[in-house]
Amino acid sequence: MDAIKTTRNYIDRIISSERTRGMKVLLLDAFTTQIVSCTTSQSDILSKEVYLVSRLDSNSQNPALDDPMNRHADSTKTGHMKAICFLRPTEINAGLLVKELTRPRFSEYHIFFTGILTAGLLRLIAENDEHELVKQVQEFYADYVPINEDLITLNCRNTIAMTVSAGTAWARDHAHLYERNRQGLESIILSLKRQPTAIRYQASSALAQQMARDVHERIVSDQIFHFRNKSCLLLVLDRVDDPVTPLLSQWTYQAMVHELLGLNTNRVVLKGAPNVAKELEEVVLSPTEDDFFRKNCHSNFGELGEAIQKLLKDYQAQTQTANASNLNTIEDMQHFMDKFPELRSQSHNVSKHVALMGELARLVEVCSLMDVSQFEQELACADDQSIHVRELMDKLGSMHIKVPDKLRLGLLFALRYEHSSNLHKVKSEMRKGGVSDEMIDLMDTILKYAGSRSRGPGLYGVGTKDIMSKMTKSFMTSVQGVQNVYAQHNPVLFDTLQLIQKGKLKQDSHPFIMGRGGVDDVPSEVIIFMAGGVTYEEAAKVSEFNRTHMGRMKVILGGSTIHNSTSFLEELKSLP
Amino acid sequence: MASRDLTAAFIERRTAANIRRRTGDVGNGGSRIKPFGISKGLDSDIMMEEGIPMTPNRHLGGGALSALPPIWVDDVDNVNGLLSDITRLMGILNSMHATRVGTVFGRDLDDMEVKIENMTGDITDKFRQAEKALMRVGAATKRVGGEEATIGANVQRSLAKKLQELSAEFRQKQRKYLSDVQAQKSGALAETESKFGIDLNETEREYGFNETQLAVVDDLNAAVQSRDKEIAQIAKSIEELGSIFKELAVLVIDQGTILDRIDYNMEAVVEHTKEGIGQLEKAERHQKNARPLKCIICLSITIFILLIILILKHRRRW
Repeated sequence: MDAIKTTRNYIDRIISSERTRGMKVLLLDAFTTQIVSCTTSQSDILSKEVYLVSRLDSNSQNPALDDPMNRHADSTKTGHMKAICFLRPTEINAGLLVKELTRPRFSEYHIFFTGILTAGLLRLIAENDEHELVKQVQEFYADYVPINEDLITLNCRNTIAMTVSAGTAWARDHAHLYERNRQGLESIILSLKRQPTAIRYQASSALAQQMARDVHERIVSDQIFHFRNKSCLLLVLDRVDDPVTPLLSQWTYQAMVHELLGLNTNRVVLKGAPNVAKELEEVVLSPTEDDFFRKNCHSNFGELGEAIQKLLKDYQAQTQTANASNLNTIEDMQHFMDKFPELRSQSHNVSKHVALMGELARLVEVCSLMDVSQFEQELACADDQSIHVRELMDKLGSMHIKVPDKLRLGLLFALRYEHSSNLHKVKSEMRKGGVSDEMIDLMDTILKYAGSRSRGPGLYGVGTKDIMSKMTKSFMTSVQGVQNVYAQHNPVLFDTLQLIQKGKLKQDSHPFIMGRGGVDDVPSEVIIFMAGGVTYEEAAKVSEFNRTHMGRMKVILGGSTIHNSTSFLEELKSLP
Repeated sequence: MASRDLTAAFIERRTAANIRRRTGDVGNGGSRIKPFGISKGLDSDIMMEEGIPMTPNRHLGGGALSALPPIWVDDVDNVNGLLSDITRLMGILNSMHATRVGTVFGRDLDDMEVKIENMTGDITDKFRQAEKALMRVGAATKRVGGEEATIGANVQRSLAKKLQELSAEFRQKQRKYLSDVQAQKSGALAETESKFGIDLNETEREYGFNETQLAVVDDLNAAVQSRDKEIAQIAKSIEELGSIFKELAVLVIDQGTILDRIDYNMEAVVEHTKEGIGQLEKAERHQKNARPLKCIICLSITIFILLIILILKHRRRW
């Protein structure tokens, strides 16, 4: 169960198969481009003789779409090459393929679909392949972007609107998004070769139920889903149960970069940050190619500082031994030349992390995130309205806190004290603090979306923890103090995982579609899919959970997208 | 890692469709009505297909144009061939090195060294040839531009990387051999020295050599010279390779950087195209602007000249 390795294997099989030996072209669509870019690198595919990567669906990269008169010129240019098409099984792609096959630009076509192709589409393509150019048609189930080995995203936006509309008359508007999410989930199961022995869903979400039911039906009806494996639980969740996590400031590397700078399919744009060298304006943070990042993507800001310092020291030590100034003999020089490329790539890596760290530290300083985050954590974890109101008023009036942070604090307060009489006061104070009216309206939107009436139990310990355990917990924290004030909060997902691990996840909050649960029936593998998007904080918790339960239980987390507070609020804004 | 192969189903449907298409044609007495609404505009192809067993490449480019690959593809094949040649030769050279280092005496020693020398020269030559072919590919594809330029650049990059790896390996082997030979020779030298009780450094101070001693000195001198020559040669080949290495380094992408991202490269292509289009538009505008301007200048000059003529004419009358 390793998402990155699995997709990488698929891609390797596609581009280095015996039947496609020789010079070749990779034809992709918008989404498969993201998959391929996240799993493999340009130099990798170049070494497999893939000399052109092109989009089948864009005019500028596919001249055949643009200008039908120009086709003779094109076919002479690339007619000697084989084309490998790696596409999602959509009608649009099938149409594009038909177009391509009637005006072929390449000598052979090897078609790979990322999901299950309907018989109709297969027939459409087959009947239009008059020149018999298609050599193979296969389904390779890599219909998702693997970010970490246990984190998967489908990279589709506006899924919150989809989850809200499920079961209502507006569901049809989001039918294609729903299809997309369902197919993504199916391909996760297929690529990992797991047949769930139990399927559960979140009772508070109509969408989770529908999706769990549909996937179950597909599994039963299509034998491609049938594998022999250990007990495996498929859990379909919905973002609605935990609107708090995406609103919090983050302090682990990957999550922090995403929250403050934006981490989009492993790419970070540093352009516009002060003191950033030209070649570092856009950098890649991928756990497959960057060992340092893989080791430290879940370490917190303090640990990260130390790790980067160590990285720098190691690098310095290495350059010292191979210093250009003390090259006395020819052997020394030759040795230096041999190590030079390695040193150079290492230097790029070091400067990348130092630049990122510098920018993160600067943002933390400028936005006084230390103060903000401490209060956020208190709002998320403790129940003390009078103190919180006072502190919130203080923060909202402060000059040092940026407007978006004020908005987040207001929203967190509203979620915590939904029926408080202070909400009006908070709103007017936010207005005074510079938050625009449109943003203040989000307070009502978020309460409508995930207020205590619409969300399930679990948030703020409601329903899952009894009064006794809450009391002991608050007593323990007041006696011992907390280890790290910036990391007190645990997402609802983490509690859910622990309940699963103990076999205590309740039937009424997470009913079964298939299979039965009990204390002695703890699954050894869990696939979680969260419609509406996950966060890197949850990913960090899942990976921590996997580490502590190594060998006993393994969890893979998938989501429609990966949220930071900006993207989460944007999606909320688009809600009716 | 599950997967499903639909090729069989696909081919079955395709054959069925093609048969239907052909029999449909015959049944209608050659009239070109097609059984499907979906396929369009390739009537001539269907006529050609009748009764002829199909080969995949025949109809490329609408049947009229044969898809002969561009000339630079031959260069690519050439480089690939050279690469495999180099690997093969390096294997042979390696075993030769081993036997050479293993032998200390013998008549075939010189022979062996000559052979090794030739082989090294061959390999270096091949590297140089490969590099040249690679440059040719770059030049040829750049001239054509567009998609092909991208392909060419990528081909160059990938082959350059392979070449670079190979040449690094080759250089390492050469160096190892060099140091082995050096160690062996100096060892042998020390042995001769101790055996005959001669210190080479003392030869200048002592005169009165007997004949055997003189002969030994001569022998040693010859050995020193040949060794020097040998070392110089190997060093030269290393140097040559070094220059090739440097030239290739420009082509190879650094791993782990944004340049190594597939999507970034694709975006860059789009960006370039956009830029190109923008510049073309600009140029067009310039051209358009220049023409009326020229006319205006021309006309105003004419007016000016005519005006002067007019003035001159009137003046004479007075």
